[in-house]
Amino acid sequence: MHSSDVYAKVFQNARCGLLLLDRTTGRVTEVNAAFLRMAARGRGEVVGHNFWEPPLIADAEAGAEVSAHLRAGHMVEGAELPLQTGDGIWLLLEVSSSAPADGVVQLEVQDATGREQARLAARMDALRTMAG
Amino acid sequence: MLGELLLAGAGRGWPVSRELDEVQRASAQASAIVEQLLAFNGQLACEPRPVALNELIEATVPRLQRLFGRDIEIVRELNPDLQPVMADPAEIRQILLQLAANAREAMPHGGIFRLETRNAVAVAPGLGATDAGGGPYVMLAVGDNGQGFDEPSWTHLYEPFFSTKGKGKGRGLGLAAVHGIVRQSGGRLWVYSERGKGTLFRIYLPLARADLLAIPETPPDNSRDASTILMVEANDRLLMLMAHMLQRRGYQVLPARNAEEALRMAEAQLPDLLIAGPEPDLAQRLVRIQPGLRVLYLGEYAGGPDAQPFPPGAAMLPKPFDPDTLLARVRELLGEQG
Repeated sequence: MHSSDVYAKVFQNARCGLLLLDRTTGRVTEVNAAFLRMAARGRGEVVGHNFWEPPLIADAEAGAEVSAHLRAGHMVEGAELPLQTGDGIWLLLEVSSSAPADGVVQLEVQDATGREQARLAARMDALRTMAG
Repeated sequence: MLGELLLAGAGRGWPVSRELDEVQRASAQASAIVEQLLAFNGQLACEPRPVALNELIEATVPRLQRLFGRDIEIVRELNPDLQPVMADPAEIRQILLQLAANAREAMPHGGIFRLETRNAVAVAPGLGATDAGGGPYVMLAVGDNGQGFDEPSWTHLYEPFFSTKGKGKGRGLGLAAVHGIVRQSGGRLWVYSERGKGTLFRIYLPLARADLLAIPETPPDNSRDASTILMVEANDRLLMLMAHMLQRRGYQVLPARNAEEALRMAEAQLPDLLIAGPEPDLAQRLVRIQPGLRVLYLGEYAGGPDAQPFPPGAAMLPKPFDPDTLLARVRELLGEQG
């Protein structure tokens, strides 16, 4: 089996969401099944679309900031961005990047919604206590 | 601690041992809360990033002046060649606001609040060897000519629940939090005070890492004062996402799930903006606490003939909305440019 076939298999079967993007345009060129499940979207709703803008990343301003950072040749680690899913809810994503080839960015995407909700609940407990 | 000592000395059969047990339990709970608060500071912190400290101070001064009123003058001595520091801007603002609140308490009849910045090669003398990091640092000095306090208090200053303000005044949490933030930033904190003369804090912040300076040095949220937004939303997920988005822009967000929580939080910290569902009662009550409060209602208002009017200047944002629209309305209501 060629290494490119192995990569494709690993990419598609990964448990976390993975996307390949054109570094310059931000357009999605490939996406795995885990991301499509997370986003509740079909492949055609993701591939060919700019990842950093609605209807994918819901916060266009924050998406543009991260996109510009990547275009400038930098990487991101743990950037938190809201994703609008196909069924109309928002998720908070944790996004990290790597560069498997020139002009290509691979994004590893985790759903951080539950973690952030727990963090917010802890903060609200603390604020309630302080408020007396 | 006192409860433990008394219990140890008196024995379990002592008539008040049950009450002492209660004291001990309450004290342990309170300590746990503080631990949670301090730990929470770390959890919430964005990645420390390069910050232009002078700009951050200038952007925070209007808020400090509102806090002080007319009787306290703010004097700035900011080194124009200051190096960028590695810090979380929201946390630095929190430090400034906390020290300003302490200074206001210490100067009930007015005085001078001094802010100074300069590049420093090492921390101040007087810090213990373990505290003396190698440097270089940027030094932020925050001082007042208020009541001050005696030297024996210095060593307890950063302990949770220790307060120099006297019995019944202050929770003693503020300086513990300041200390926690500075420590978490990799910085150092030094204090000098004399009763009747005033107090001086020196905060030593580490320089920004050179490899990160290629990233835009001053994100948009550094450039303005942080407004406080009280956000009331029963849907936990939506509440978290909106809070996250606004915090990212440097706003301080007080999240609440219902009106009762919102009122308690507003009494503890006055908000500039309320974001809530379309029930005007909450806004009416909050406007009594905070007359300048601006209000953004999420959803459609279906007011009947007995419904109370919305406060002047309140705005509506129908659901569903996208984050950019929410952000635009928030900025508009707070009188900020997009």
